[in-house]
Amino acid sequence: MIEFFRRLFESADFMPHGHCYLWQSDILFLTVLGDGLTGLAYFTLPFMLFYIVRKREDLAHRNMFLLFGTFIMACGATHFVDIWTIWFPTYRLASVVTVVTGLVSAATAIAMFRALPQILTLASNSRLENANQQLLDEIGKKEAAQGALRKINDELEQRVQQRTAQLIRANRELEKEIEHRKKVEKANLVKNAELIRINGDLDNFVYCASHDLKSPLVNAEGLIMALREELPNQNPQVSEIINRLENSITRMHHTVLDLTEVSALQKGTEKSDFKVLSFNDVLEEVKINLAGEIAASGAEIAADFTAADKVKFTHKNLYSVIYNLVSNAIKYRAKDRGPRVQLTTQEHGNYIMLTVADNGIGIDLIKHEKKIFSLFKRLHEHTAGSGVGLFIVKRILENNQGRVEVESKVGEGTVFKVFFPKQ
Amino acid sequence: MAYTTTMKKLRSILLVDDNDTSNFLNERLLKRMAVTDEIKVLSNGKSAFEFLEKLNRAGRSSIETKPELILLDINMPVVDGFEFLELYNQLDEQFRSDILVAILSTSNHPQDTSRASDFNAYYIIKPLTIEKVEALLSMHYAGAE
Repeated sequence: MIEFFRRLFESADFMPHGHCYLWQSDILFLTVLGDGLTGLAYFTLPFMLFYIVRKREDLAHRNMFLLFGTFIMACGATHFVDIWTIWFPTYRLASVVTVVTGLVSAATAIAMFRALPQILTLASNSRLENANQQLLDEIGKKEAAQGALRKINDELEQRVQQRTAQLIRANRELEKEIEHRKKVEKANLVKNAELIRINGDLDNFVYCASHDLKSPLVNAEGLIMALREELPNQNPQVSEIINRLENSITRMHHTVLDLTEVSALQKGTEKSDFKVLSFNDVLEEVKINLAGEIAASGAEIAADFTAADKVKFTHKNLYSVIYNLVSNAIKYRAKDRGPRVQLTTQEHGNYIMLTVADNGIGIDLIKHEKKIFSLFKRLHEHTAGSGVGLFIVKRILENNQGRVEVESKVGEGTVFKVFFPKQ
Repeated sequence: MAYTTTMKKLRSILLVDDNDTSNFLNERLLKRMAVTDEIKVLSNGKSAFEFLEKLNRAGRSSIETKPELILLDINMPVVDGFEFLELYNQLDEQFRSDILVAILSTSNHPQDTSRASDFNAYYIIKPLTIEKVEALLSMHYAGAE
């Protein structure tokens, strides 16, 4: 082996290749020409390949290009060696060049084989252009879509701005409204205070008026009594005049007392005045105080308080309610029958309902419903009422978050329903 | 008609009222009841207080008789009933000890009646009647005798 490489450039043992061509000049010429041209071409092609590799940094399979370059150059070398061996038979060197070329060729073939699948997938230029076009189309579409989106976005923004402006306007209006309400409220407070003051003045007035009216009335009554005592054996005319005078004054006195009672209603009641009261006990008290009227009219008073026998209320007011309703039932009795008064109670939602029913003359409610609860309004001339009772009943209930209702039929009787809040 | 009463006669009675007719009627009633021989009438709290103050200062040397009962109206000009009571309460306790004060008013307003009880005064609602006077005196002297 060492021997082989030592004698690599020796040619003494062999005949030049020209002998094979019998040194015929035409064959020699064509062979040298063909090998020379091929070798030259094979030496220029690799440089172009290397140049491409150097310039195109993005090139895929650079190594393949380099291998091909080397492989082609090696092939070129074999052709030049062929020309050399026509005259100088260094066949050892020629074989080494051929082996090297073979090795490079085999390596290139193997590398090519291995790169084959990848190379097959390599996109061609037209395909790339196609793809590019598609991409451009896509981009165009996307840009169009984006444009549309932007438009929608702008519209949205505009709408948001409009809405915001509307909201701000509405808000400002609301603020104005609130301001206005506050002013109204303030004015109301002032008015309310004024009303409370006026109401107080009115109460005071009624109190003073009734008080100042009372003194002369009491005096007049006293004077009439004195007159009776001083006038000996009165004649009937004088006696009648004195009687009428006394009646007028008594009636006036009652009116003033009623007025006082009404004005006392306006005063608030203390919480501590509220007690759990038995309907029956209060009715018994009323019966004692109306004993004269009950006896005189022969009234029957029946009561059934089993459904609700107690109520939380002030004694004074419950007494006043029952007293006024029972005394009215007797006062407004029918001429042809004895008065019957029926009192019952029952639970009614948040209320305890007291019903006072009579068989009296009845009330034409269509005409008079409003009137019967007004102050100093009487529907009947012949009775002794002063027109305060129902007003007091209604006011007591209203002052205590209750109410009173009336049902009636002329000639048959009247039913009053009084609603006391349970609380 | 003469009224006989088992009650002892009072030294003197003072009526304090600005209303002439009230005074006329009350004086007439008291005279007819014969509960006293002397009735003094004054028309407001100021003159009543001045009268009593003078009596207090004069002591026994006074020519006027010290009242044993004062019937006092509330609503009066110058010095009203309650103002009178405030002044009156400043007089010697000794002097006041044998005087009975009763308010006589048409008002039955709780404001007035409760104020009267603050002063420890009796309270009579007008009109004054024989029964009321008798009730007052028997109530007052029942404890005393």
